[in-house]
Amino acid sequence: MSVPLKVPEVGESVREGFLTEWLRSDGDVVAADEPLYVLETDKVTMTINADVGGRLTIKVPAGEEVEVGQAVAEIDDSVEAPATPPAPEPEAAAPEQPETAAEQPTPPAAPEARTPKPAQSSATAGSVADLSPAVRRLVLEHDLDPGVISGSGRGGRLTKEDVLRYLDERPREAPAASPAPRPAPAAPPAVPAASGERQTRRRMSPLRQRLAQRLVEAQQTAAMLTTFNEVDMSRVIALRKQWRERFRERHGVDLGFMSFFVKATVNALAFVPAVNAFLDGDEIVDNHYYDIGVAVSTERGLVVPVIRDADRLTFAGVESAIAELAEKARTGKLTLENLNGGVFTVSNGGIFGSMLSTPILNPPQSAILGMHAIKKRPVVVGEDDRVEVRPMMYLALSYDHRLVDGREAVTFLKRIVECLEDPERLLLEV
Amino acid sequence: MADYDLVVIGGGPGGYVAAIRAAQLGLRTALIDDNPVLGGTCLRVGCIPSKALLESSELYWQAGHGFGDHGIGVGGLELDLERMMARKDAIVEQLTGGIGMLMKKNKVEVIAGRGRLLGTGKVEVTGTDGSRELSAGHVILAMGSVPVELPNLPFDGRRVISSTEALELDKVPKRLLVVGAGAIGLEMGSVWARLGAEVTVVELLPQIVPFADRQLAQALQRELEGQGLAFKLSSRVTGAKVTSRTVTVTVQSEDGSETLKADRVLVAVGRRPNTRGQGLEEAGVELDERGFVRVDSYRTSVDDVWAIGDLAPGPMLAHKASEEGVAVAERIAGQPGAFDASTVPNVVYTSPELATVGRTEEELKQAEIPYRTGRFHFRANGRAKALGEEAGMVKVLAHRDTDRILGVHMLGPRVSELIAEAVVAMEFAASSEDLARIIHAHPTLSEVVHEAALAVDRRAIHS
Repeated sequence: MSVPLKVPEVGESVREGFLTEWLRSDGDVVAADEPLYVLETDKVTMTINADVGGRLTIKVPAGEEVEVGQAVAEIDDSVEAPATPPAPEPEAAAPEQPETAAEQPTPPAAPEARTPKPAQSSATAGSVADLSPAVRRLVLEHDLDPGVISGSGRGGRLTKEDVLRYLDERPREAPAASPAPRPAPAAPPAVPAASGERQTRRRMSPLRQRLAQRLVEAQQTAAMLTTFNEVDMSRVIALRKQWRERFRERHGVDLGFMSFFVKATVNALAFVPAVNAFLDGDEIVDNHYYDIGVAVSTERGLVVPVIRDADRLTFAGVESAIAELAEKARTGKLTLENLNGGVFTVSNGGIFGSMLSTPILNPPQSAILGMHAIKKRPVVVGEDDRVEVRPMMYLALSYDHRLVDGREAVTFLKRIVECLEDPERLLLEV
Repeated sequence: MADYDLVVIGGGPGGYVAAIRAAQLGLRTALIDDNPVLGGTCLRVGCIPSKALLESSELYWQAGHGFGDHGIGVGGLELDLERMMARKDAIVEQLTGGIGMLMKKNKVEVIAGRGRLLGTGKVEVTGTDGSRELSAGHVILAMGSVPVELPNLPFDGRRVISSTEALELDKVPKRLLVVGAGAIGLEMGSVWARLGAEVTVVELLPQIVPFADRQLAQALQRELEGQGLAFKLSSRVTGAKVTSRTVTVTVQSEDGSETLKADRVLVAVGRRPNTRGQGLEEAGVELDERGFVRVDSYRTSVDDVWAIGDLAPGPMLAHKASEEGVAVAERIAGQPGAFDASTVPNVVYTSPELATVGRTEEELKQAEIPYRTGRFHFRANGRAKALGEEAGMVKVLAHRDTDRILGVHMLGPRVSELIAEAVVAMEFAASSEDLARIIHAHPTLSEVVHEAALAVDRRAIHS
């Protein structure tokens, strides 16, 4: 029986999105819960799994806009699914030989010369016939699963160029040249530079459209300005160096800089509550909780997953939360629950080497902290005005001046600096 | 509510196709044209009548020069030019009448009169019964183009003529001078040469059909010279004296100056967008320095006003205009209409025909794109031999590394039809190997395309 594969509810207020990529090909036999396609909405990008196992019939090609509840494929569950999800087992797939092969009397023990491993390619055999002649030749010659190669032609069709590029890039990605299809080709569709155009056009992804809209909105609504400070990272670096090994042994995560910044932020928010608030019309909403957003750059754009109740988390708790969220962001598994409701955002431009920047607010939040690269700089320290080389970082705090006064913003940022320069303050709460 | 969802100004292959597509998509559509006969330049005084005359004149020429080889003798060959013209007119009448029918069938309201854009959503139409104003959600400008006039050789409609008059001469000129070796000049030059005129073609550039692949353009020139056309390349018309019976034209080239006498001069140096005196700039439509409407994805500088076809930059071709019309109509209806300018085919209906799509070798060299070339000649093709039309070749240009087809250039019999295969292939980003691995019927002219694709990889079978 064919079961329609519908676009699931992915969160409140999300009605549509883009089906950006099929991870399996038309005609493949898939297992229940196997990742089938990538759905990109204006809020989040996620992988959608199969409800049931069986033969996949794709109804909506990659690149189309889809609505929640729309059937994008059918799964014929009368076809037995392979045991392990991603790799089609030869035994399980064997009954799914192309009809032509089944109808012809097969000479016993004499497999056809051109398809040395018929069982392996059979799962995609239905789609091989749909390929262009040159692509068909390449796929058979190299025993490829065309479903794992991203197509740049009309409607996502594979061109010879796509397959040649895939073959060219494959050794680096999968040195063993494993015959099992890779579950998710992460590479974004490459720009066809070979055609030599000076300009090409691409559709803006919903995620980026939403991001663009929010950034402009923030710029236009808030009375935004930025205050700067600098922080001597010596103590934090020393602490990390001293405790790194023990921390990892005890907690199973690395002690990074981010936990210090998140904890310092929580401390400063408690110290200057005006920053932990936002404007709603002519009312001021004060937050009495500490959900901190951490900006993460992904291939599909910037996302800001939120660490819940960071005030109640230990350093290890913050680090594991960040690790988990970053992994989800990378693999496109963030849900709306991961993204909603932050009261403040920490953005680390330092990982790309930024020295100084003015971050844009993440509405409706009233402030955002910008971290930057740590650079060794000569600074004047001590009573005797010595010049020493210290690992310095510039910090930027952009804030909504409608709500936060300059004194509060500067005090807030100064507090973060103090907590980072003397991390024991975080322990002693002084 | 506006009177119409869409008003299209201009009933040529850009405008009428846009109107039909819009009506198909449920838009209330009106089409304005000041000519009671729809179809524009292409159907009335361009592509279609010229093809009719090219076919008739080719048969006449074949009867006189080609039939002998087939063992057919034709005695007392006569030319009934009047009848030839009547046949041409009948074809035009059928096709333009057909467009009127199509408008009715699709419920497109045809408004006779001169359409003038007033601004966003406003069009004035002036007919025999005066002027009125229409309101429209969107307006598509599709007024086409007009022949370019040479300042020192202005059209007089009698001795100095444009393509329009060249399609309805009442007798074969003794000597016809053609200025401009583009598609129009070569096609009309061919018609009258085949019918007996002594034709000389003057071209400013060093190559005929300047947009074509150089090798094929040169081969075409040799073929046309064999048919009696004379060429003066890299030559400029510097002066002219027109009397009631003859025109004396001074032509300047590197070799010096000479005077050519002719009883008619066809000026076919190109066409310009029909944007002068249309009130476009008053309505706020920006034009570029060459008179084309400035467009961004066919949107003009005025909101909800679009421009397509010869008004918009790009080759002035009917099929380009039609596709743009479809794309714009779809976008007005909220669909993602798209148009790919890199796969517009271009055909010159000489004998042999020339057809081209994509980039030429010269363009690839200039862009420093590495490519491989596959060539195959019609003289090695059975069908071409049987037709007695062995001149020309097919040339396939493919990227050296990816094998993607970058351009296909054809000179030979019926290549106007063969080019379609190359366009389909390029639209699908095909490689030369794709073409090479596709079955082509035997014996057909299309085998030359197949062999040329094979030749990219140096594995043509019959060479």
